[in-house]
Parts: sequence; C-alpha cells; structure tokens
Amino acid sequence: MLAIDGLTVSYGTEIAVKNVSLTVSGEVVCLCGRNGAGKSTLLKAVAGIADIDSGRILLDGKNVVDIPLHKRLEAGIGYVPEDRKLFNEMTVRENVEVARIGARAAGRKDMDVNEFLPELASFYDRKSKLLSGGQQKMVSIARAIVASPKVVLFDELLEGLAQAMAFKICDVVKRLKAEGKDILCAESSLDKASLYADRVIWLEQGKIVAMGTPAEIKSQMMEHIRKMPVGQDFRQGDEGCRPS
Amino acid sequence: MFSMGLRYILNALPVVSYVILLSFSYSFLLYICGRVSLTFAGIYLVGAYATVSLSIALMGNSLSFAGFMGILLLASLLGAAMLVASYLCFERFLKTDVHRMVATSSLLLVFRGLVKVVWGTTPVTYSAPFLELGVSEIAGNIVPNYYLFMLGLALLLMLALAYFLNRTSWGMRFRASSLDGDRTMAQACGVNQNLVTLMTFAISGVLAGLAGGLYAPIAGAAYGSEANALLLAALSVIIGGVGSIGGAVLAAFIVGIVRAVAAIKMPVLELAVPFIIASVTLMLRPFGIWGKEFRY
Repeated sequence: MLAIDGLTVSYGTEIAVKNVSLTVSGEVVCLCGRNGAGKSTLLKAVAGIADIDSGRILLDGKNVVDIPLHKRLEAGIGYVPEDRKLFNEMTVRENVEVARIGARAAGRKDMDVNEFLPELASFYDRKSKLLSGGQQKMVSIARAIVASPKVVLFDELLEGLAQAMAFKICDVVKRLKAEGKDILCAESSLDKASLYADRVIWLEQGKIVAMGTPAEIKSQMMEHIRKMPVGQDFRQGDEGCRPS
Repeated sequence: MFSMGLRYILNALPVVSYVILLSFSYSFLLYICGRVSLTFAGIYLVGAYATVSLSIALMGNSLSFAGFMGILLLASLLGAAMLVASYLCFERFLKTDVHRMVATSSLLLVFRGLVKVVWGTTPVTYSAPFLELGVSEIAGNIVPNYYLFMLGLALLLMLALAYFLNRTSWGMRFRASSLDGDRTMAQACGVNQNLVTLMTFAISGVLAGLAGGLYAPIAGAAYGSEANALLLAALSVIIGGVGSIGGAVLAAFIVGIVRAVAAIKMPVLELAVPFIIASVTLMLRPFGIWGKEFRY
C-alpha cells in the first residue's frame, strides 16, 4: 500500500503540492486537475525526482522519503514519465535491461514484460528513437515494471496516443492492478482517467479538492471545469476558481 | 607520391596517438557526465613529468620494457586519482557549464603551478623507449617501433572502451546516463549516478595521464606543453564529434597528419591548421564528422 501523508513540495518560493494526504491500495488512483495543479510534481516526489519540503511517503508502512532516486526502484517504485524519456540511442532491449540489471542487483525478482506487452518482441532490437510515440510509451512502461515494483506511477499515461493504443495501454494498467500493484497516475483529462481509474483525486493549486469515482468526480466537477478560465497562471492566488 | 604520403602518416603517429587518448579523455567526460572540464590537460602534464621522473629514477637511461609499462600504468593511475580528487574536492560543486569552464581553466593553472613547484620549468627527457625499441621498415620508410607501440596502445584502449560501452552491463549504464540517454531516468532505473560519474572521471584521468606518459619519451616533459595538448584535444573533439570513439580516432589522424604536412610544407601555418580544419568541419557538419546533436 502506498500512503502519502502531509506531503508538501515547492519549487523555490512557489508551493506546488500543499499538505496532500492520500492512499493507494490495490487500485488505480488518478490525479486530475488543470495544468500546474501539482499532479506531476506529486508523482515526481513519490518517484524521488522532486525534493519534498515535508511529509511522509509510506510504502507498505516504510517511509521512503530518504531513499535516494537510484534506490527507489529497489524499494519498489516504478515511474513512467510524461514524455517517455527513453535512452534514445539504445535498443528497446537495452532500455529494459538497464532497469532489469538494477532490479537484479538489488535482489528483486524481475518481471516478464513480454507477458504484459507481447508487441515489444517485434521491435526489441530497434533503437528506441526510431519508434512511434505509442511504441515508446510501451517501452517506457516495460522499463518501469520490469523490476516488479509494488507501486507504478504513470504521468499522462494516455497523452498523445491513438485510440487503439490508448485501449491497449489501459488493458496493461488493469492487468498490473490484477497482479496486485498499486497504481498512481496523473491525467489532465478526466475523460482519459475514466478509461482506467478506479478513483480520481482532483487537485487545485496543489491541494486535494475532491475525490471519488470518475463518474462522481465528473458530475461534481463538470460545471466547475466549464467555468475555468484558460491560459492563466493558476498557481498563485486564484481562490475564486475553487469549487464549492 | 604514395611513399611520401606514407612518410607523413608515419611521422604523425606519435601526435595522432596522444591526441586520440587526450581528446577522448575530454570527450568521454563531456559525453557521459555532460561536464565541461579542462583539468585533463593538467593531468596530461603531470603524467608526462611523472613518467620521465620515475623512469630516470628507476631505470636511469636504460630501458626495461616491463618497467616502462609499469611506470605508464602508474602515470595512468595517478591521472585517475588526481582527476577523481579534483572532482570530489572541487568540480562537483560547479553547477553550470560557465562555472565549470572558468573554474577548471583556473584549476589547470593550479596543476601548472604544482608542476613548477615539484619539477621546475626546465624540460626533462627520458628517450630510452624511443631509442632502444628499434625501428621497422614499412614500404621503404623507416619508422621507430615506439611510434607503432604508441598507436597500437591507443587503438587498443579505444577498442577496449568501445567494448566496455557497448557490450557490458556497466557500459549500458554509462550510455543510459550519457547525453544520448537521460540521467534522471537512468537513476530512476537504478543507476547510481555518483558511481558512474566517479568512474567516468577515473577513466578520463587514466587516458589523460597515459597520453602524457606515452608522449614523454618523444617530446619530453615540458612546462607549458599542456597548452598545445589542450588545443589539439579540444579541436579534435570539435572535428570528430562529442562522445564518438571513431570520431576521436579519425580527428586525431586528420589533425596529426595535416599538421605534419604543414610543418614541412608551410611551417608558418602549422599552428593554424587545426583551427582551419575545425572551422571547415563546423561549416559542413556542425556537430563534428561523427557527432550528433544532443538534448542538453
């Protein structure tokens, strides 16, 4: 179980995540909200990429806050970044192997990624920079799950994917959940989140303002989303946009 | 004509060999760690002085090949230790390329000062390997065996590095962390960046120290020679491309041979020739002959 307790993250003087607490236990939880709401920052904090100001991140009861980034995979946290960030000059096989080596060195049992993503086999020896966006997303997922993590973090999982690929990736997420993984995602679109999430947490200015099933959040927040001003910096002030 | 061309190539072999090692020392650090550091030129100077001093102290003016190899190994390890120490004590605190460029230029002066204090400014020489290894004849040209030994060792090391980077699990981690990869995601995949950085500095130091030691029996160890070495290495990286082993070797051959030709045909242009080649390369291939653009 992943439990986040009173997490605060800031970039300089700007607070991106304010005192957020949530749990993920055998389910798919999706963080939603507009740009700058703190979704990606929260995921990065759990992954170990963003430094936190205060709070705890508990994985099966163990606080992982002080575990350095390169040990997070060993601790059981897999991360799929928003823009995939593959090792471009390396083959798909090598991309996955880097994480597998890390997992083996740490004594973790590695996962057979072909079982989840059999399509990988057809381009295993191709350089990752030559792949399509959807294929790159699959590689990024394979790299995150090969170490058999307890928690998988997906940032903008369905961003830029064609419909068929989006469904395929949703199936992978559901299978990971069936395997007992805790899954925490971030999506800017509620519609996309509703394709695979059990629960949605709505963030505004780094704070949780609503949580529930995708349908509940949709009914609660739709009017609010329609009224949202666009193209503004929402991170400072903007209390008027908060849903009642 | 062929014989003349071959003679130029053979005469250029010592410069080619040490430039291969030195330019890749610079390029490797830049490619794997994304760090600009000019300290390698100081290591080159220390490597040259250490090799000459140790050789004279242990072997006088005679040559024991095994002893000389041992001394080259020591010079390489000294280079590694010094570059790692400079990283741990100083360079790791430099967060931007501007700071690194300015600060490591200053550090280079510190190394010069260190050499001046320990060895003074008078050049010292130990020519026994060059004189006693004999000569060979290649297509009618006489070439010292030491030239061939230098080139063989430099190419062997480049092959070993290529094997390490492309065929080993640690090499995979290095490439994942390099400018071709993504340092943050490599860490998220379990790669310990501190260790990779330290190993990169150590390998870079080995190459720089060895370049100084290997070239010393021909050019001697001379205070101030690091400036020329720095120039040739940096221009070779521009010509060959950052992070490319093939590029480092090719650029070293181009620079070495063209300089050798210029030294005889147009001595006044000898120093300018590497700049001219680099300028033409940048016009035609902005990232070097074997280079590519990096997300940086």
